[in-house]
Amino acid sequence: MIDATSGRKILLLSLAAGFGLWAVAFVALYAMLSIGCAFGWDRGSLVLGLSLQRLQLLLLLGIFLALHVALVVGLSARQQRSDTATDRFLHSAARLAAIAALAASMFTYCGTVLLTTCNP
Amino acid sequence: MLAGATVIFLATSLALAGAFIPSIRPLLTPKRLILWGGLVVPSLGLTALVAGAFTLGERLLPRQGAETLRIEVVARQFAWEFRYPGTPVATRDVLHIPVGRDIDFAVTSEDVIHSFWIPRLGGKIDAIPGHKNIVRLRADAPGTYGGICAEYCGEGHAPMRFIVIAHAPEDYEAALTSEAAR
Amino acid sequence: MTTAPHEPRVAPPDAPPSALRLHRELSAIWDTPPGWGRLSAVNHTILGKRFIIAAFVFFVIGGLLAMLIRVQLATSGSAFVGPEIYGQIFTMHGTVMMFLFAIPMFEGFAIYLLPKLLGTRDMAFPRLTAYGFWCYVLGGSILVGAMLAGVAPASGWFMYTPLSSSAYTPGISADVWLLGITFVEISALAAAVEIIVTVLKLRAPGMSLDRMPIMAWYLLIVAFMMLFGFPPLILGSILLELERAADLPFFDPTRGGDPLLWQHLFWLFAHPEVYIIFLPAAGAISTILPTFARHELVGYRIIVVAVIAVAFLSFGLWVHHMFTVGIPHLALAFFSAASGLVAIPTAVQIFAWIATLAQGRLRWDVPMLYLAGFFVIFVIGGLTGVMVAMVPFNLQAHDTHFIVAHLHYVLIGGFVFPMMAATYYWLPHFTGRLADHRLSVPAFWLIFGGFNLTFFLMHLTGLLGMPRRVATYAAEAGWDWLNLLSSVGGFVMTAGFALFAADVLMQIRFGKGFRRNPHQARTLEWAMPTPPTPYAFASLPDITDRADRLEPGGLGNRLARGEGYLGFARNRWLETLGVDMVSGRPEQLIVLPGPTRLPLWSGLATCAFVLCLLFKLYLLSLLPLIAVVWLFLGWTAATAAKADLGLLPVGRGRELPPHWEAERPPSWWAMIFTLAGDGTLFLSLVFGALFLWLVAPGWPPGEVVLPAPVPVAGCVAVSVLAAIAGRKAVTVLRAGGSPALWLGLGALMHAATVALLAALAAAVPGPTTHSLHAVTFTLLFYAGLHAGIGLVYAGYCLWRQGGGYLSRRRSLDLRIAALWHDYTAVSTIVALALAVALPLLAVVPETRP
Repeated sequence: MIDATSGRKILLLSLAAGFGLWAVAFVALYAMLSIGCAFGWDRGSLVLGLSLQRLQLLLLLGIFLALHVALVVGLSARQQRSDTATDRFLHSAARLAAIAALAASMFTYCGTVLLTTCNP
Repeated sequence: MLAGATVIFLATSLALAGAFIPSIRPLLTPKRLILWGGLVVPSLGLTALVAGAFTLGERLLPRQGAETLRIEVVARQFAWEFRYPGTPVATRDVLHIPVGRDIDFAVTSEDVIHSFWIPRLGGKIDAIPGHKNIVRLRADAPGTYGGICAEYCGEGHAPMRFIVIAHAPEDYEAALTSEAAR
Repeated sequence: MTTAPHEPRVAPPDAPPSALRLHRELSAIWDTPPGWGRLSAVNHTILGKRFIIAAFVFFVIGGLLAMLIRVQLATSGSAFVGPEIYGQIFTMHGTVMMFLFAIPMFEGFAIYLLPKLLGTRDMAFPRLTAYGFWCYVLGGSILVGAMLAGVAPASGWFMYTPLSSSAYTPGISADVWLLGITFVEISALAAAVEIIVTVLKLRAPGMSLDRMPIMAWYLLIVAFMMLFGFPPLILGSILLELERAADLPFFDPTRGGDPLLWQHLFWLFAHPEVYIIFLPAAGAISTILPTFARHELVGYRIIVVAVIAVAFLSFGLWVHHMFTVGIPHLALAFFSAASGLVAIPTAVQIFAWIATLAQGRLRWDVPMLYLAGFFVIFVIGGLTGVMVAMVPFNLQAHDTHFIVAHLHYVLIGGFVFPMMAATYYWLPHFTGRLADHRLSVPAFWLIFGGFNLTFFLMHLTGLLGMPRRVATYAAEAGWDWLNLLSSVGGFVMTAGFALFAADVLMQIRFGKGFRRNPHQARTLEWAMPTPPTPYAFASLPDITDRADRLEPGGLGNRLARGEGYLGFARNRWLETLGVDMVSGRPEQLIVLPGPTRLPLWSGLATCAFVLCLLFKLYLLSLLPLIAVVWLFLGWTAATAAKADLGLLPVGRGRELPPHWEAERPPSWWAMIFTLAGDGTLFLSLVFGALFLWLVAPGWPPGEVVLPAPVPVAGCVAVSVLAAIAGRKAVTVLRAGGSPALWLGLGALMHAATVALLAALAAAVPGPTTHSLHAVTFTLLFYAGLHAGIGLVYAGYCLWRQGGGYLSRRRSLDLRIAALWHDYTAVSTIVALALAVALPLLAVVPETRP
């Protein structure tokens, strides 16, 4: 009984999971960008003409996009197992939000690939 | 951008109007409306717009280059001071620039936040105490341009203007020399 | 059933009373006393109306200020007012409209409507509603009073430092803003916590999340946004006030501070604020529009997802107010893309509304006219919004009248027009009188025409280069005719608003009466007598379908006859039900407090404290501070039970425990959400510290001192012990023992934490010399304050234990206190870690230019 209700409260939280991940990615990328600029990571190139700054940001972005995909997959798998109408509603809304958040992350952070990272 | 906005506005209005026209109504199923009007069309428009803005933004960046001239701008309540590196010249509320050349303005402030803006030459940049911000501008025609403070900085904010005199390259040095003599 | 050996009575009456008798009995319990007794009102219907009326008064004040602005700008070289007064006028216009009109207006609608939409009898914390109201009105009065005295803030509603610091704004005008607005924000945070808990816990039985009326989703999400959006600004205000009052240099670039920190903290609040204002209006549209389309809302689920998306995205675009402060292009790109992206969930909502109209058969009425005005204005405002989200265009348009035009299109289109529609829609509910719309239509055209004349032209004025916040401009600029037309438009719009106000007054006075549900709406607020009774529902409905497709007419009659839950009066208790937050299954009987003047006294004491700070009477301010604490402790007397009641019948054959014996009552959740807001404030402080380290000029400071390791380790140990003692007290009480020993230990440990933190703070070298020391000092102060409150909590629990208010079943006080102790331990550890890390980080050489 207790397990069932606490499980369902997590369901409520899962509505915010997708965009919560987007927000964490935002904070992480913005913070690492600022730190990299402060310490001059954008100067010179490490591999393939890419600076340390570009590499670490791309790595971070890759990790977050992977987490986004994992979240969508995870929520899709759980959706099969929901029994009541409320559970189904919350699951499908959380899954939609997670897909939207994945798209939002790709759109918001795509500049990481090309744009100038620090003030000259 | 204005044309695009007008088209979107008209299209949205048409969709709204279509909701009341019997022959169109059956075509406007909820799924179609939300999918196309709410997701697909705005996404495509935004992607194009953002891509364009990013490219333009990169072009506007002040990168290192041999050809650029640097001018120091110091704002204070309620006046502008311009210093020309390499010369002892400092002018107040009058800015001399050569035409046909990219100029990097290094902008800072001695007291509160101001903003350096010559509307006809391009974008603005804030003058923030403790920070030195750089904006790259270029005038292509000689003449006089108006400059203003664009960030509210106190009672003297509105009259805190300056004049930009753009000289032909050959006249620029002479203008600075005569300023130095003053 | 366990029955208590003595009073209170627990059984309901055998036979249900008649509808009229039930009404009399419930009214006797729920009514607010007349005369001076009105000051004791805690009822949501009364307080919702008071919020709305007060917000409208502030709207009139803000509107008059706008008129003064338009007089000043009507011609070039105007000498109507000088630049000093003009600064006060536009600062107060923005401040009043954002903080004293828009937010409280939506709070008023939310407080009035929310319990009725959810099928419950009141908000979760009625006294908190009243306290929030008094904070709002008193704080607003401080600001308006300062304006009448000629010392209104004049640094713009955004209060950028250093202009607002004591070097450039001596006197009290900036303090008026910082303290007055922070005071008002207490009410916003209180409302946020209350709305969240009410939506999650106080719904009608059977109303699972997927059956909530869409407005409840909007308000729930907006309340979360407020909970996370307001703390950064509150922190910023506290830091700036500390800089002005105690010379701690957080924003002073000559001492390792940075004015950009203020801009980040301010806009981190102020951009979500725009959506905090817009989303409730969108919720009203999603409620009103289906009624007139005679079709249920299309895309309920996708709208919920869209609103969640807007809520998050709106926190990722604050820097688009700061594109010109010299931030790297990639960072600008993140914010720019997020700013553009927010248009998509907004478009989803707009097209869901269009789809609803396309599916239904429209019935044209005045609220729809105002919604049509919303469509036109808001879509234009949204499009110019996407334009200014693009960095290159923004660099041109920033701080020009183009922005003024854009923001008024968004705010008036997105908030004022829907709110006027909502006013006409729910006015019959407020008054019990039907509308007669002779004046409503001309009022609309005056407002709509005047608005577009004023602000459409302003786009052009801005593109021609007219900057914001200038008191005068030169005739040569060629802006005269545009400005004159804008001013004319402004006055036409004002005439329209006057007509609107007159129309509303006429309808309140002369409208015709009606029986029930005049719009044939399908939501619960119409399933009650109008004007509403103080108890809202004579009995609570059992919800079996989505709550925006009900039949309020028949349902209202059945509820009035007492056929739902709690259709009886007992013990003079103000009863309602608490439900499981996901499924809506009833799980506790909630007994609400009745009318009391405690919120008023608490509000006045808080106001006295703020005034003491304003006039720099710091020693004297301790007096009202003690009064505030003492009064708040007095609030708890209402929930003091000396005996276990066990399960109580709630009607329809169900039995539930009273909330103070339940596992997860509203007050427990309120503490969770309060701590979430508190944690956001703390995180903002952590962000500020790291930001200063990375970005501020003048780092590292000359003198860097690591805090002494022994007191740091000791402090971590005692604060963890305090948290453990708090938890042990709960376990011991629930096992049947006395928690007194553990409570005493907890108090002792908190006292030790305070002492150690004070010693550490005293060892910080010269907090006024560099922002590093100022930030370290503030971190330690934050932790110390929490340990101090923890001490009060522990003392309070000891008192409750001594008074016999605690038992195995009645352990709520200890469980709430334990949450506080846990949070205090965690935040103390983080604060200490940062106090150690910052000096270490400060000396790492940075290579930035």
